[in-house]
Amino acid sequence: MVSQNPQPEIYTTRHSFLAGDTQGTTITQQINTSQSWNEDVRVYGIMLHYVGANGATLAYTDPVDTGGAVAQFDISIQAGPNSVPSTAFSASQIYRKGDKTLALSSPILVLHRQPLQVTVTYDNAAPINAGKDVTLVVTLLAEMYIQNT
Amino acid sequence: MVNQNPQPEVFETNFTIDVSAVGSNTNTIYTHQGHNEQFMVYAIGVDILNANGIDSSGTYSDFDLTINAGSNSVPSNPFDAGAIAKNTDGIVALTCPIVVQFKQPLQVRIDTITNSAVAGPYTVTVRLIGETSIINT
Repeated sequence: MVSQNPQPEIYTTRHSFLAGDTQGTTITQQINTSQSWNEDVRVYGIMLHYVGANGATLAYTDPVDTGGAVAQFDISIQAGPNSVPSTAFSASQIYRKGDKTLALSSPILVLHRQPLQVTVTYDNAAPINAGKDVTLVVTLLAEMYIQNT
Repeated sequence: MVNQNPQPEVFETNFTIDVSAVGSNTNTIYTHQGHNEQFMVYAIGVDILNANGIDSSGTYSDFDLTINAGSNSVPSNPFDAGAIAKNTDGIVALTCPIVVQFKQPLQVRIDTITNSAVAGPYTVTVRLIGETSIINT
């Protein structure tokens, strides 16, 4: 239920991977949008942040740290019964950008009662290094508004 | 009370975080708006500095940020401040503005997430970039 129309929304989920996690390890988090029957949520951008076990920011190479290899994570977003965008995409590429944000070409639309989930998958052949626990903090930049009928 | 309409505003608030201040810290921002004025926040900037004023977000950046406008949180949930501090311009632009009406309190809350590792002290500066304008009736 919005307090103003439209209302900016920023949804953050945390996906914690541990040393030893292998390729294909997947963590899904649910976002509760608390939207009413006549309200929509639109997601315009996705922001990324890698945090270590002690709260420090990690570089995108840190979790594997083998010859500067990129720690490859993939993101997929489920809006309702489907993935939107329809396939998983690279989280690491977003994190390597200066603004650490991917602006979508058109918004992800979430209707009333549709579940909104963020899934992060570890996708390197080598497991995460010892002492390199990493939490991917995924932030969805969105707005909620009352539908115009 | 504005001197021009609209009037750009940049409200900054500082939080000193160390081992004695883990958890939640809340500051109130005074907008000094008249009864016929509203303040709109378009973007949020975050800096994480050490005691010498040097960026220390690489040492600790696990903060959540909450903005309370009036009786509600807008956006409705806490969100990651570290990602804002770590991006190139240290600012996130909102998809639409936060609207603060006359007499509505405007508060900023910082929560430390990985409490066990907080040493510091860190100064977390939150910058609300917006404008105050006279309401057109």
